[in-house]
Amino acid sequence: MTSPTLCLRGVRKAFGGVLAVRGVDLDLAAGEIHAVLGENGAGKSTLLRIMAGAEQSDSGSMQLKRQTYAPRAPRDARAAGVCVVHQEPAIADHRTVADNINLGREISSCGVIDRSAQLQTARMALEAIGAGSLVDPAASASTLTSGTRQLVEIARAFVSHPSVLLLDEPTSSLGRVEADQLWVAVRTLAKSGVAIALVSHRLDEVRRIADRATILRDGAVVESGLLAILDDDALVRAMSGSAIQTPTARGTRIAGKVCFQEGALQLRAGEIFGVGGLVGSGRSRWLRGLAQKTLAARVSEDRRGEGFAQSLSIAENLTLPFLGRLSRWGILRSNDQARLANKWRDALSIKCTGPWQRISELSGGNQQKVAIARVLEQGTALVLVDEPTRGIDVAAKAAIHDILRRAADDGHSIVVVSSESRELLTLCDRIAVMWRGTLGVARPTHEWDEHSIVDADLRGSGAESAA
Amino acid sequence: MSAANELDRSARFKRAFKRLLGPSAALCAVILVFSLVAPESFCTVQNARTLSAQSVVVVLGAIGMTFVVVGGGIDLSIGSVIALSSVAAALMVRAGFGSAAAGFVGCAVGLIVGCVNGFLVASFRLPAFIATLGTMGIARGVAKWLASQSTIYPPEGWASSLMAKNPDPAWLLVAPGVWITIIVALAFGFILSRTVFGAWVTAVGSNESAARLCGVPVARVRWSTYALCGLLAGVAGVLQFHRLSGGDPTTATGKELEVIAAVVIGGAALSGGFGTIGGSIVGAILMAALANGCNLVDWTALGRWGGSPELAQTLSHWFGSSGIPNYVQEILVGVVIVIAALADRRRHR
Amino acid sequence: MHPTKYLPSPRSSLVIASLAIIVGTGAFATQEKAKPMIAVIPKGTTHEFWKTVHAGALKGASEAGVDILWKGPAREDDRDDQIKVVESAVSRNVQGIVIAPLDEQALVPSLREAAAGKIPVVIFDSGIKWDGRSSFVATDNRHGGSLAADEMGRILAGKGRVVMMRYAEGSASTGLREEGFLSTIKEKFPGIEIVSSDQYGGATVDSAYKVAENLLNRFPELDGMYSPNESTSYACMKALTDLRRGTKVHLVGFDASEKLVAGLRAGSIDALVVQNPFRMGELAVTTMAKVIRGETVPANVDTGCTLVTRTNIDEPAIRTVLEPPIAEWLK
Repeated sequence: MTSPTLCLRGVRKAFGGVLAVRGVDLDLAAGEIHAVLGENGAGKSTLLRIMAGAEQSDSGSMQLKRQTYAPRAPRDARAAGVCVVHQEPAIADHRTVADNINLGREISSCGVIDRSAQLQTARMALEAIGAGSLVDPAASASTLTSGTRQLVEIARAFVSHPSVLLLDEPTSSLGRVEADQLWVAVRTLAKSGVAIALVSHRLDEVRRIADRATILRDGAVVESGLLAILDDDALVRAMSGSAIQTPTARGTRIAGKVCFQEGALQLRAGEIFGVGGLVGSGRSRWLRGLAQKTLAARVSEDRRGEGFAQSLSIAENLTLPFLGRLSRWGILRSNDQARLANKWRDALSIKCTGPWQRISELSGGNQQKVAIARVLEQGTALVLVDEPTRGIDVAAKAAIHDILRRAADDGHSIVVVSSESRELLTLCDRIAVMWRGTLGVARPTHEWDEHSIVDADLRGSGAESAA
Repeated sequence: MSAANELDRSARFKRAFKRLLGPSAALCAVILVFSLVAPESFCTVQNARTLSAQSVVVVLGAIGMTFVVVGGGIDLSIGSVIALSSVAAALMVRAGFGSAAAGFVGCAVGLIVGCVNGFLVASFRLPAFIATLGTMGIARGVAKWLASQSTIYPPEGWASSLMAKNPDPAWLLVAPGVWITIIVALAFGFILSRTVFGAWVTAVGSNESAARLCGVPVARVRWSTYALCGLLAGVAGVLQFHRLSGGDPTTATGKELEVIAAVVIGGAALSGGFGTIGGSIVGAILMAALANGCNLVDWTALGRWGGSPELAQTLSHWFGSSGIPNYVQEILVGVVIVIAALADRRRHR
Repeated sequence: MHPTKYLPSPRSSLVIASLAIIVGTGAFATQEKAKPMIAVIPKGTTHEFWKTVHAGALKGASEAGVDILWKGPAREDDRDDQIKVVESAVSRNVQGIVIAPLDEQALVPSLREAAAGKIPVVIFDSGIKWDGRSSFVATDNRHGGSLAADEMGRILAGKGRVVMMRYAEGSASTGLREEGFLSTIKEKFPGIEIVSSDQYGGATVDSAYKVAENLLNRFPELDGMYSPNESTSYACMKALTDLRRGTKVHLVGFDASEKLVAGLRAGSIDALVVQNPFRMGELAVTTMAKVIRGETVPANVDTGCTLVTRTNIDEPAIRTVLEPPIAEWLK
């Protein structure tokens, strides 16, 4: 075996006395896609940031192509040939795609940018990663979809001829087709000899794309090896420290009275209605429209953007929709706010120091619990949840599914939009797939399987009726 | 765990308190330094009365501005509105109306400009900076037009005593206008921190779309912050009129920046979502105290109060005068603003 | 967030555009073209003093058969704005510029340009460090300052503590009034101590008022105060009345306005050195008219200043200075 491109030995990093990474060894080999797995807070992101130069390790060493590698800033890492593709692509909207791909390494003579050369380079890069037909390098970056933005980031990395590429949950906001396009690009890069590290939550995609996996728990490596010899159960056990019961499909139940009816679409109390479809198929817009029509409470897919006021506390965020109820003559009763926050903390086991802790200090899973608590407390019969478990680790995912099921048992009618077909199949009672802005026929869960959902994602389920 | 602990009442105010700590410490430091350097003039009851009366206008402006800034906006028209409402009140008195009617009209004028600001920002979605830059020019121009470009000195009525530094009756201790300001400050501090409206303002400034998702009437909340700011600028203008005994259309030029500086020094985030009335008031008083103190310092007096005469002489020589020249005060205020901004940056890291 | 959110809607653009048109059309009044046009540029437009100058200038214009264009900067310390006024006067092709410069230096380049374009320049009120002017029409400010010093010495009987508040940095006329006062006190009244002479009141009443209050608090034992122009005098008078120090502290001010004269009668002010702004405006314009007609004019024209006290205030000669026929000329 040839020596790895990037190797880490005993890397250690503490934040204010808490060890985030405790002595990690990691080898990234040229041409190999290496998945880094772990629950939220296991230290994956910190490890990635250390490799990318955004953080410096307290002890331990790194070697890049047998040379000591100790980047003090992201710029050093880039100069050494280590590139990062972030969860949220850094794209300048007002420039063209070609400008973005060449950003930071503009082709110029005497300070004047050579536009045609830049265009040429961009086109070559896009073709090399298999995205030549998907992205027009001369177009404005503002026309890119969230999927093609990721491709542009990869093309940008390609232009700098990196030896290592770090991917931080690149598909968390992508639908299946866009994700597949991305994987084509990543594979192409790997084949050209780049060592690739991938942080992801989605076991299924890791299995499809990666060659090798390293699993972190509490900042330490607990398992590492070829994916071919690690089965799903072993991965989950390694991540969580215990075997997680794979949630079994909810038995179809007799639903209660009709909460909402429009055309053929009926939403009933006590059931969970699942909506599948690709990103961009109009799912979120449909959900937003439904919320306006019915005044139903909604959990947004975008926790940072639309979900929470990050500078405010748990209690303030949780009670924002019904402050009127918690006040007399416009004067807030903050004790009632705190009491309510505590009630939900106990009910949903939200991990926090107290009701007045800032929401931004919570993990993604706990934030999502607060968001769900907020819509349940609003007390509307209909509850809409967009991507309930995006970017959330396996254990928290199970907890949130459980919460939603209990809420349905309590008589809520719940609509869940999700990109994960397995989530829809395990969580919902009935499923319909959104295809090009129209909702397909709703059928009981037992009539669906992963294959039929993907098929409907791509080609529609026929007889779109309930729009 | 006791019930009080369980609700963790203190944690909530700890954050706000921490933010107040910096500006308050700075204010104490300024007061301490001037008390040491100019004990016989700075540390007197009379000067406390003077300083409080001098702070009134900026404090009232800063209270209104805090609402706008916490709600994620900015109001540049505040200085012009102060001038316009002081001219309006002066014109009313000159036309023979009573002081109460004049004061009412002055406040109403402020409220109207504030409503226009709110309308432009909330309903037409203009950027606050541009919209209020426009009304800043309009209000200033209208003030000069109404006043025929000169200061209006109407006959003095009972309300002139509103800003008298030696109030009648004497048990008031400070000018009645200062008491008005204190009452306004307490009321609006309560509104921002303890009412539904205050919580809405904070939420809108922190994350507008999240607030909208939660059913907060975002446009109306935003509009109200500007209207409120205009109203308080109107009150400030009426008090400025009584302070100068005249409606001066050029008064409070550049005051908007002083007010914004006070709010920033007080720990509010210009990006919205955080700010306290208490902090902004401390910021305003800090700047007033700096200006006041710089006028009072006399190096020659330093020798008399235990300092070394040589030091006094060196300082006099260094500054080329026996006191502190005006430019030093400008430098000091600038330094305080930069330090406040740096402190804010540190908190967000 | 979508960027178009921040663009103004078409409706709002319309409102703004129509506002701009309304404001724009109001600003430009029509004018006759027959007579020579002289630009008269004061330091400011809001002070009482400049209104009187304006009235005098209008009288001078009617005597000399010229038209005047009266335009000044918005604030008394906005040099930049005054330079713009000069530049726009040049581009409007006026036959002459009569100006009270805000600053001894700042206005020189733009006035030099005007002179290079064959537009004669008459300076009034305040001096300027430039010899290209046709004439200088002003009060002898240094003399005015020493008149004030003489009166202060007389009131205090040559003994006491006095504060002199300065006006604004860089203003030549008030600077001379301050120097005249200081040097005369120093020469004639060694028993009078000037305890502060380095604080500037600034351009607005508001700022001067604060400085006056602070100075009074700084000096609990004070006998006299001197202020070199209208706004500082008003500020000092108001601060003295407010802080109830008027009976103890004697105030000698400069310039006159309705309020200051009322203060003089009421006893809040002991004396005022009064220029003759009406005559200044009149002489500035008639001198310029002579320059335009090609007549020779003296390099310096003194417009005189007078000491007004409670005893001489009702003398006819003083009354005409204090109450010039403004209403007759300014509608």
